[in-house]
Amino acid sequence: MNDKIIEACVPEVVKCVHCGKCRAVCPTLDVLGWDNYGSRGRMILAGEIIRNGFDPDETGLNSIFTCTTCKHCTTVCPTKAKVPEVMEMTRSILVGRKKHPDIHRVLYERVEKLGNPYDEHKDRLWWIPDFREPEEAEVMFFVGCTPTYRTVEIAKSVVKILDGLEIPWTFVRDQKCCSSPLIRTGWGSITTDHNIEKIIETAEATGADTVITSCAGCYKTIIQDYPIEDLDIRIMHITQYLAEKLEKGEIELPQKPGLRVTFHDPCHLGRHAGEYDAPRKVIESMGVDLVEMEHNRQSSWCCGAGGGVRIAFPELTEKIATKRVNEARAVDAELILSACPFCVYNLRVNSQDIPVRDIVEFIAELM
Amino acid sequence: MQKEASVREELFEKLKAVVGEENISRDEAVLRVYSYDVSPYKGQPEIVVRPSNASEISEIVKLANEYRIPVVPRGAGSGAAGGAVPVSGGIVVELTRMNRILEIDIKNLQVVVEPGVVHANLNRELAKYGFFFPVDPGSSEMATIGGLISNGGSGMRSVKYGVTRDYVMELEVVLPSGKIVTMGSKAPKSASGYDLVRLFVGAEGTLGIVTKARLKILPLPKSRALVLSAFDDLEKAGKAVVNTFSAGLVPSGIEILDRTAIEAVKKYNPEIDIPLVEALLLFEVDGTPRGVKEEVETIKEVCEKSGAVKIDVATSKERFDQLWSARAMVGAATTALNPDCVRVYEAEDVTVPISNVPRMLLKIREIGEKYGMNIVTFGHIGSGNLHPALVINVLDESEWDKLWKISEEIQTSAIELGGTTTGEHGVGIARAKYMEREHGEALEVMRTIKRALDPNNIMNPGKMAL
Repeated sequence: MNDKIIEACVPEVVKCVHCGKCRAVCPTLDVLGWDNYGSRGRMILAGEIIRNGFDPDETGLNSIFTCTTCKHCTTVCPTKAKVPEVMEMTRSILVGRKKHPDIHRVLYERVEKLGNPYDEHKDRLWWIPDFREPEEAEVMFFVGCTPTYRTVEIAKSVVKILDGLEIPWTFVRDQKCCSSPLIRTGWGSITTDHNIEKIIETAEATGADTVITSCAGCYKTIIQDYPIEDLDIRIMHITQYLAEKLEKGEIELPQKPGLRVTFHDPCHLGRHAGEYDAPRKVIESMGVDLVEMEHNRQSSWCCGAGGGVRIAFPELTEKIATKRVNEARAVDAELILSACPFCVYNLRVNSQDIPVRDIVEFIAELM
Repeated sequence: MQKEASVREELFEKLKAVVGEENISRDEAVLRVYSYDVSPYKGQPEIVVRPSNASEISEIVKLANEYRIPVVPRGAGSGAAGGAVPVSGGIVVELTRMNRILEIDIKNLQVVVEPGVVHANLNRELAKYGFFFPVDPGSSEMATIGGLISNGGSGMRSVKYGVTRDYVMELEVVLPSGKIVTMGSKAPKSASGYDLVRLFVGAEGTLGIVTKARLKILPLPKSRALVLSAFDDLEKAGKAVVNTFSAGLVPSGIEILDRTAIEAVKKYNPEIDIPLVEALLLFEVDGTPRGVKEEVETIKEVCEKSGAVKIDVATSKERFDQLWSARAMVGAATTALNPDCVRVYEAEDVTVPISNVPRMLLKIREIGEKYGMNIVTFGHIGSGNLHPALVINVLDESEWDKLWKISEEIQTSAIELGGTTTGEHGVGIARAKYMEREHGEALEVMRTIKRALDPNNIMNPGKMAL
């Protein structure tokens, strides 16, 4: 297994010419300072591990496992070196050698046993006990683990919006974690086949032809890590779905004129999936005053939570998130909006004065 | 051996007491990362420290002298010649924590910075006042001012604005003895004493560590324009440059892209609208709106007379940015020609007298053909500085053999054409072997200076053939 990963990884590793252009944009280098905690250093270490037999010490492991996979480096890289992918592959190799943060193994075991990484034994529909699958639906809601167990207001908001806009919907049946936390940390997916099977099953049972999710991590994982090329079902982030409906003039969203809001691009929706416009279209349709932070769109500053970093290195995440909140403060935003439950959760706990909401919460609160 | 280990342990503890536990490491992972810069050379340090001020650096250097261990200063590690690669081991002194702009003195047209300030950050700050530090390296977003000073860097606008050494007024340096000295003057000019500032600019950390610099700044020009001229013949492009100067004009920059570079750019980004010809010249002029307009007209006339087949003046900001981005992306675009290959920074900084640029370009093409390598060439023709990009499959050993031969031939040709192996990237390890050929007896003078200041040869040993 490792040989195959190494074979795929080497050509990507050597694409890094060590120019250091990524130094200016790596959120972990910004906090930690040492070159080994930046993208270039990590690419060097990946090369040392894969090509030069380096058995990483604790600092080496921490260097590889502190990458949030935000992909900011790749966007400025002259050779477009795929740093997040190299980190995932290198992590897989290290996991194969049993060298990884222990907590990542725990996540794996929880997903394997419970279908979620949060050690939750509750039913996934605990928050909507009266739900019965309709006979017909237009969209299938893939909720994701964070809205299900940590930011349930986001899940409830999506339901409220769909009901309010009279869009026939259902849940993807018996869904499990999308495996994003496992793939990013080098443990690979153990739920792909199950979730694809359930998407197809739900589609066949209800006629729904679109999966929507409010989670940027789930969205990226399904469209990029699942083999869905032959699947005749659309996968959409909810902001894309709403933006499309707005463009067609099929829906109107509640208004909040005069409120000064800013938008934090989730890395998995923006840089990874290339979607910057849809959330902005949705926000702007609500009559608010949208102001951009210093880092936005392709150059958005990571919130610090992704790539398994938040659970393994919480202090680092906190510092990165604080910087992001400060950017919102610098433009006098009254509200920070995002489109990812994980970003929202993370920015919220690190923002003392500015409220943080997911776009769907913001819409639902006004409905 | 045991004694050696206990001595090293003692040194480590002493260094830790100087910089603090958070700012010192000898972890294998750290040492491996600090073994590289952009060049293909590698050398592993024994210790990496990240000091925060000149006193700490002074203590570090004193300890290095006491323990006879090399000291290698490093900024962002974005150098292309191995200057920051610790080929003889020792202590890497990373200066990126010293990243404060200490003083912006507009009335005296100067700024005082620490060495770890990133070039682009300085100019972003100065722009708020309507000023700029005119040296503009391609590595602006990562290169530190300390690195720029120590490597004698410059950039695209050196035709009119000169190079780093023209802008350094005063330096604070930690000498190899550990003594902190200030050299130069705050006055706009000074005829007093040896010009030590100029000695330390481009010394690549072999004579000491720069810990503070007073730099000249200039007001941002009110207007800029870009003229793109296409030529079906390299010689004609070269003559157009000479004719431009003869017409009494000094553009801020004159860049050249030869056919290989144009092809690479077009492949990298097909939306870039530039003609596929033998050579493209990009003239940038700046100044007052009226002056710029006049200069654009003169350049157009000169290029027409010199045989340009197409001339395009970028008046809109969009077109201006597109053309500059075409030039800026050549380096990156070189890898687009073959996805299995990457650029190796070798022979990448040759510089010849302006009138010999066309000959140098042809020579590079000839060498490429001889070895079967498509060498993409671009650079600052207005200052004679070319950046040939050697692109190979680094996983193929035989390609490395070829690369070394090509590198040798290109650099030797540059010297034969009255030029130098490096216009702005420095000597480091990469070009040390050409020092004697380039400098002759003068190299011995350099060695004498080095011995006088650094008798124990602790400062960045193994560089510049010292």
